[in-house]
Amino acid sequence: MKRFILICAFIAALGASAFAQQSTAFAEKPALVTAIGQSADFEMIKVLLNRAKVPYTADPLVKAEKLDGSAKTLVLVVGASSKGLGAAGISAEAELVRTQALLKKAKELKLSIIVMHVGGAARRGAMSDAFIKPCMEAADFAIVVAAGDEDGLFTDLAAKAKINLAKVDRISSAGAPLAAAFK
Amino acid sequence: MVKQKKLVAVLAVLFLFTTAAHNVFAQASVQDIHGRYLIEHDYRPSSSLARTGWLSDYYPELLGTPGDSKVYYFEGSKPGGTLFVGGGTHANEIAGIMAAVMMIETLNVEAGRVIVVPNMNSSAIGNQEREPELPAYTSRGPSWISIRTSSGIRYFKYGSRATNKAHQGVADPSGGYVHPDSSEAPLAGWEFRNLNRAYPGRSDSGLTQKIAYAVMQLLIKEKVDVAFDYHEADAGGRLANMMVANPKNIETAAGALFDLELDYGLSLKLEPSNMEFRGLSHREWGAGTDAQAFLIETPNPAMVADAPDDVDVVNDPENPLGSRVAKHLYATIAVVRLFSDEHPDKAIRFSGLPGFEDLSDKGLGPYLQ
Ligand SMILES: [Zn+2]
Repeated sequence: MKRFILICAFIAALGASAFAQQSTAFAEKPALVTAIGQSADFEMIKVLLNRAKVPYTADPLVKAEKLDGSAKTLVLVVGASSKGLGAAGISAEAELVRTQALLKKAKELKLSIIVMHVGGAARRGAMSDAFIKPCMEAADFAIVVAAGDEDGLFTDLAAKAKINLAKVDRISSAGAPLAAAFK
Repeated sequence: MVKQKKLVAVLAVLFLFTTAAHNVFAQASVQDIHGRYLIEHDYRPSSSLARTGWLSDYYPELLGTPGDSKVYYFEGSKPGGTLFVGGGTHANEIAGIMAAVMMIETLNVEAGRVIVVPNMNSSAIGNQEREPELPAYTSRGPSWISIRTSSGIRYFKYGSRATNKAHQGVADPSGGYVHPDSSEAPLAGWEFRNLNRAYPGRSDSGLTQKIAYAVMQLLIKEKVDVAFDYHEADAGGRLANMMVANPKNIETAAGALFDLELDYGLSLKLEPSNMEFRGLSHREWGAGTDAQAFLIETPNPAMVADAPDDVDVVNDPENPLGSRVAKHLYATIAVVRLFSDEHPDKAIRFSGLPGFEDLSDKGLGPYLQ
């Protein structure tokens, strides 16, 4: 019996690690990175992509019409900043409309979609969560700083969407899974 | 006999006291006009100090006013860029002041220049009176902090957020303060005496506006490349542990924050300046000068809204002063390193500061002069 439990545990651990690690690179280059919710986390992800040497263009306010298939992967830096939205002169409602159109077009163009949430608890709450949900439903992969998933929202949404979720303890640790996602 | 001895001793003490008092008076009377109204801070510069000057060197109208402040210049043997560091914009934000003091006392500049103003608002450091219209956190804290160093216990002044009303020269606007270039709603009237709402300053307004004007002139005349304004915030609030960067240099800020995490496990939040909200250093320094402009916020327990008045701002168990000072210094180091890599002709290189973990764990005492 003990032996059986051990084997089960071993298999479970194996499965968990395979799940935790994006085993095969799936995303094609170049990437297009945008800020869903206009937070400055966008700047941090640009640094991450630079250092991972992933070619990309960055446009925090890119609209669906601008997607023409030249970028193969859409990186969504998700998290609402009322300051950021204010500075960009865009309402939360308009941002949600932009996001939904962007996701629809990305699906039509068969782009890979990577969700990144790196702002922790400060980028959670009603406004952020409204952006998180549609993005997670459309995503192929998500990378989340654990402090933003304390209530398990990302874990649940990833399970529902049947996508891999990489949980990291800090932003700088998000570089490895992000780089590994690109072919 | 015993009585006589006692009398002699008392007389001797009295004599010494009066001579000392006389000396202080004599010194004060011939003291440079710069320091007329100012606290003589016990800051002990490292041997690599090139010279000191005054804010009034950049705007002579500040000369002999409570708004003047000492400027410390460090120069490397190799040419390079110029780093500016300001502490005490809000004089109750003690980690900002002490981070600047730590620089003054330990810095060894190898390339480029470092200019330090530890007390950006000299009027505010001498004024801790609790004004009814200001929130309690703006002046809460000890008058002085004490730190045990190898040369004995040393004392450093703690002040308040706003310029002394008696020094401002112009009354707080009764309808609230509106920055002259702002289209936003008025702030509370006392914000007229908030140095970090006054940039780029004015020569025809209150003392706070004149200080801001002098700082801008310094940044321009000294061709500052990288400028830091050291602040503190409510320990549990949104601003604590944040770097604010002018949009023009937000990529450098983001890169530096990555390096801070990787090298020291230190995570700071990042925000760009709101370009609509006028008067803040990171916004106006970046827009009005060539400098890349940054502001750091560390968590000060005295700035929590309902903190007790006897709160310990040095040995707070969660955020001791050493760890807050380390955050300021190492955020600066990370930015300067990236800036220097990107601009090799303007590289700024310095050493001498205590290690991040040493300073965080042991506090300032072992490293001050
Ligand atoms: Zn401040």
